[in-house]
Amino acid sequence: MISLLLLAALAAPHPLNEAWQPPIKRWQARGVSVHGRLATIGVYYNDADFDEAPRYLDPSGPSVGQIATFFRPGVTLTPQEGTQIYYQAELGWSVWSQRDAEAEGLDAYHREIWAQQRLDDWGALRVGYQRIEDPSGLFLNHRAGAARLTYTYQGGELALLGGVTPDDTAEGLGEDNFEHDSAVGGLALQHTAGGLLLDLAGYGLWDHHIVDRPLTLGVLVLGLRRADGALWAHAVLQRGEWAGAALGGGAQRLAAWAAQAGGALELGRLSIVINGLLSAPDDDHDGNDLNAAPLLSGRDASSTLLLTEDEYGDRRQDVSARMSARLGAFTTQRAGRAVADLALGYAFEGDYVMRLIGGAAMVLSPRHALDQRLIGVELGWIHELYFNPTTGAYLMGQLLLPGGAAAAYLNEVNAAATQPLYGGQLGLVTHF
Amino acid sequence: MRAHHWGILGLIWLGGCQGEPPPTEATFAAGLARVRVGVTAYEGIDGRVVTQQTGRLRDALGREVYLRGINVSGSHKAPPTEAFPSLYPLPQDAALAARCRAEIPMPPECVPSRDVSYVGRPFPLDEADLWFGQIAGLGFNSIRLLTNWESIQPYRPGTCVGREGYDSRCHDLTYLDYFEALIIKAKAHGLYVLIDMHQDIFSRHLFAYYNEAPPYGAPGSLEATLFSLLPPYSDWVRGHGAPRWVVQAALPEKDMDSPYWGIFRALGAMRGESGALDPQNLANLLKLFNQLMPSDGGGAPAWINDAFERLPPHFEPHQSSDFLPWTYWPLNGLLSLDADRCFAAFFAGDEVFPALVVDVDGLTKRRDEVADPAALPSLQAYLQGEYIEVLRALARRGGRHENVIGYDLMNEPVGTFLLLTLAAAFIQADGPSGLEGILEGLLGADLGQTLHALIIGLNLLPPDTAPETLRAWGLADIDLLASVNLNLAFDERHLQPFFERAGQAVQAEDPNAIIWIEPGATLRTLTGPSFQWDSPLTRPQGVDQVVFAPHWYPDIYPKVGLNVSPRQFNPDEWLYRDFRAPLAAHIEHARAFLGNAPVVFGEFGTYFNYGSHEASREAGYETSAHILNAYYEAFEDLGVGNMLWCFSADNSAKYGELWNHEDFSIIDPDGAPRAWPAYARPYARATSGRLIQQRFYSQYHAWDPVGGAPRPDRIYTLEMHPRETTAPTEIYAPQRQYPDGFYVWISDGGAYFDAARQILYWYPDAQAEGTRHALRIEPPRGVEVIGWRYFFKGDRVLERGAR
Repeated sequence: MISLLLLAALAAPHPLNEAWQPPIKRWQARGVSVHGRLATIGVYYNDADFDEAPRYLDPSGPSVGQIATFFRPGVTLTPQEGTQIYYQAELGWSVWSQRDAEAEGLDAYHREIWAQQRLDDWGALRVGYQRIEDPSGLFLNHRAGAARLTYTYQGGELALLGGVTPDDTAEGLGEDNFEHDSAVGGLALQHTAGGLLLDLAGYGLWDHHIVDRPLTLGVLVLGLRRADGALWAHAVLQRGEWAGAALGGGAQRLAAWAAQAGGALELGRLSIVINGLLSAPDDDHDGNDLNAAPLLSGRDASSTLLLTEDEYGDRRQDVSARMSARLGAFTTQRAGRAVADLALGYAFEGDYVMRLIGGAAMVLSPRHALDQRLIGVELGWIHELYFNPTTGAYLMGQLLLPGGAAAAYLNEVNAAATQPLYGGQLGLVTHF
Repeated sequence: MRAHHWGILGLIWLGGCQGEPPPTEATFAAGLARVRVGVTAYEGIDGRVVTQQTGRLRDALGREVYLRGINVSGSHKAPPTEAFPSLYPLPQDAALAARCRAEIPMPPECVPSRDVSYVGRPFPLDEADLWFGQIAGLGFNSIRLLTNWESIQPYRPGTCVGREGYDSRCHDLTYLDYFEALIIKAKAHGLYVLIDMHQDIFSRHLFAYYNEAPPYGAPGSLEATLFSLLPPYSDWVRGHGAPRWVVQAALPEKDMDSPYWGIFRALGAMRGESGALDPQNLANLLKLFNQLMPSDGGGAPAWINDAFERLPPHFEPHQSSDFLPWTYWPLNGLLSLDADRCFAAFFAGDEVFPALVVDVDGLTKRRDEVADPAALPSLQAYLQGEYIEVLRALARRGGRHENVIGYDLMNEPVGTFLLLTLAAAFIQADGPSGLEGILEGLLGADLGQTLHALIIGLNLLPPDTAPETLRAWGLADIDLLASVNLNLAFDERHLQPFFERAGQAVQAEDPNAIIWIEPGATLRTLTGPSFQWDSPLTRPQGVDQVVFAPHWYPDIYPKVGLNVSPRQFNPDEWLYRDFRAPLAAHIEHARAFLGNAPVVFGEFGTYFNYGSHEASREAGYETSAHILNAYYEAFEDLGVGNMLWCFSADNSAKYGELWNHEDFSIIDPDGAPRAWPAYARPYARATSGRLIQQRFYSQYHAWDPVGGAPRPDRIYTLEMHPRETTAPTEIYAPQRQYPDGFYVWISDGGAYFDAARQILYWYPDAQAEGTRHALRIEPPRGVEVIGWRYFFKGDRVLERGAR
């Protein structure tokens, strides 16, 4: 049993991964299913940036680290066959060294709240605050209020999506209306042909969250995957207009792209995962009539944990997120990005998996990174120990050799300093 | 389409897209929109619309505008037709030049030409791009462009028939073309222009020669002071503004063609008409010397004979003026009867000189000397009428240009008439006999009599009050009571009505004109407002846009005396000075008496020659920088505009701005900016919302560290109320302060940087009740900076964080 689990865990997502959830019985008869994830994670890094200067007014020096616990309880209600209600919350990030349980309130967030209705045999309608994702995950990979109508046919699935991404625009005195919301909608086709999945999706984004500067974006996602997840390739093309965004108040054309491709190979106990990611840079001019950098979700298929999002405990502290600008619910990086990585996993006898992750990233337009190109090179060595199919512990050591581009964006003292960042994580994760 | 075509298309999409360069030039030009005084209107309780000035300037894009300007220029005060250096237009021939310096009366070949043209001041038009570019590069968004009455109307109306380039009023059309071309040039560099009708102590034709190198005594000593008044002369102290014919009109008895014009009047009485020393005056002088300095042994000092030898020939009182070459030249506004008479004629001639009219020949005459006095303008009406016509001519030019932000109707009008009042009282008190009694009562019989004899003998006051004597002295028609009143309520009774007439005339030509007014230099300036009978400058009626533009010059001038050295300060004498309270008093005046007119300090500045020009330069102009920094910090805290005195393209180490040895120019003789860290400082040129506060911590900021906090070196902060327009907030972010780039924090919105013009455009976009937009700029400086949104370095940009 454990061996099977380990083999299943070799390819992401695995039980220690944030995105992983235990399988939920679909359209079960009336009933309640309670589930959750509880994680305690300790992190330590020698620095938050790439020089050893102490932080201002901080006698403890430049290092960062803490141990914290959080809990994501969820419940699936099936009041009757064909109808589901889903709720998931996040309680905490309770930092051990800071939380006073007697003095503070509850840190609670609603992650997902939605209802789903099966529509005869041809589809389903899900409405509520839910995870929305385009086939590549590069553009849409959010939790947002949305309605998703799915039509299933023999060769695949067609999904119609309409939703609203959250923003912080005040729209009146303690009130809200639809004047300055950010709406997204689209149609996604996933067609199966042989062992391949063809992805074809088109989306529209109408982002009015900035008063007087509405953004309209059309997004085309093209992709090809192997049904077993062994290969993937996606391209995201964006065209649109951002009113008032150019210097002088003129409109800015949006014409951007991003692409990602990769594969996973299992050779017995050894797994190999590779991924390459490109996102276009903006043109040479800031504030002109063209913005060529795409709006992205900030999530991708890269295995790196420092250069891209950390799948073990994502707090948006990775280099890519910190280098990016955020526009509403999306991220953008004017310098563009190329990330290539390789993850090797080996399932030893017993309950132990070891992974090695290596990756490198650079910007595509050094002009937008103070003429620096390299973002960094990351190495990670991860040890996972599984106690049962849903509970495991991990220990990882990490090293980031930052490049000048990362230093330019992230270094808080000296934009030229590129001292290595090292550290690691220790975690215990359990699901039910 | 073939496959490779798709490939090419794909490549274009993937990497080949390049947009047009950002419209920096158009954005910059659009930012220089017409400025108006902010007005708010609302329905009152009785239904009528109540209109109030907001006390702020707004541009056509709906932004609040903050003027950080500079006066251009100090060297405008003399025409380029008057050659450098500032003494006489000395001939090239060295021998002749020596004669011109030494010989009294001045040889006819030394007398300067009476042809006047100010074309080329402040600088030739072909240098305008260079200097305006430098001014804009240093962050100034506006200039107070000096002109004066003489520039536009150098000759008496009606005397220019046949002169090319003049209209019937003798307005110099060539100069007006030049002046308008300067306005256009300034616009190309993003500079607003305040048209300033400048004057100081009325006219450059009121002056006093002096010897810069007296052979005896230390600066400030009695003998050095005395010899400063004696030839050979090497320089002069003078006013500027009104043309020669105006001075002649105000002082009709004067012989301005006299070869002695400019020599202190008392010296003309030291010799008799035969050329011999006047024995009576000589005896009284020696007696006075012995009475004042008995410790010197009672004998004549060693230098006295040299002094007598240097005395000029005899001349009459009407052949010169009573100007003295005070190093602190404004004293002539207080202590010159001739200057008093000029200002009184202009502002209050109808009351003080009711008998004077201007004849059709342009000469000032008594009413009983002309055939039909009722048909002639009074002296006041004539002078003000011509002055206002000059303003009209300027307004016709200025009204064509969006970057003109107004008209300063008159620089530093003098409203103190102490000597005029004393002269009137002297006449009323039966002249010399009355004065003698007063002096004897004050000083004792002996000293009083000696002093009285000298005052009369040296032509400081007329010898008697006979009508013909008083006419010869120009004192025949003074109204005593009017003279007294002139001192008490000048701003209210004379200046404000003049501003009304002039302001309405300007707005008739340029309906968008903002009228800039300054308070008079009056007794109220010295004593402050009185509680019971205050007579402040109030808002000119019939003028819909007014800006109050007081000047600010605290303790920087040379001490009282002739040939006095520049002041000397230690930098820390200025490091901790806080000028907010005295500056706030001016703002309060605008609020209390001027209908909440916006306040822009039209002048402030500092010498750059403390200790000496060389010493100041050697010290990196540190004292001057501290002084300026103290001013700017106060202005920033109070949120008021300001215009620095001054920029002078032809600054000279010895002569400063070529006028009275003033050395205020921010560029030194080789054209390089000096003490720039104090004034090339970030500031918001225009804000999308109402400014709450902006502040820059220059390297001269007094810093008292708290808890190990790093020095706030070159940090700029800005806070404003919710935006009222989608137009950007413009912030000057100078390369000089931030050679290694700068970080930007913003509360909301987005920002772009025009590196060529050093302007950061910030488009705030939050729009909720209670929003406070905030921005912060810091350079990389070796301390941790967290949470920045942008880093700009030249045309390179890093952007991160949320929008």
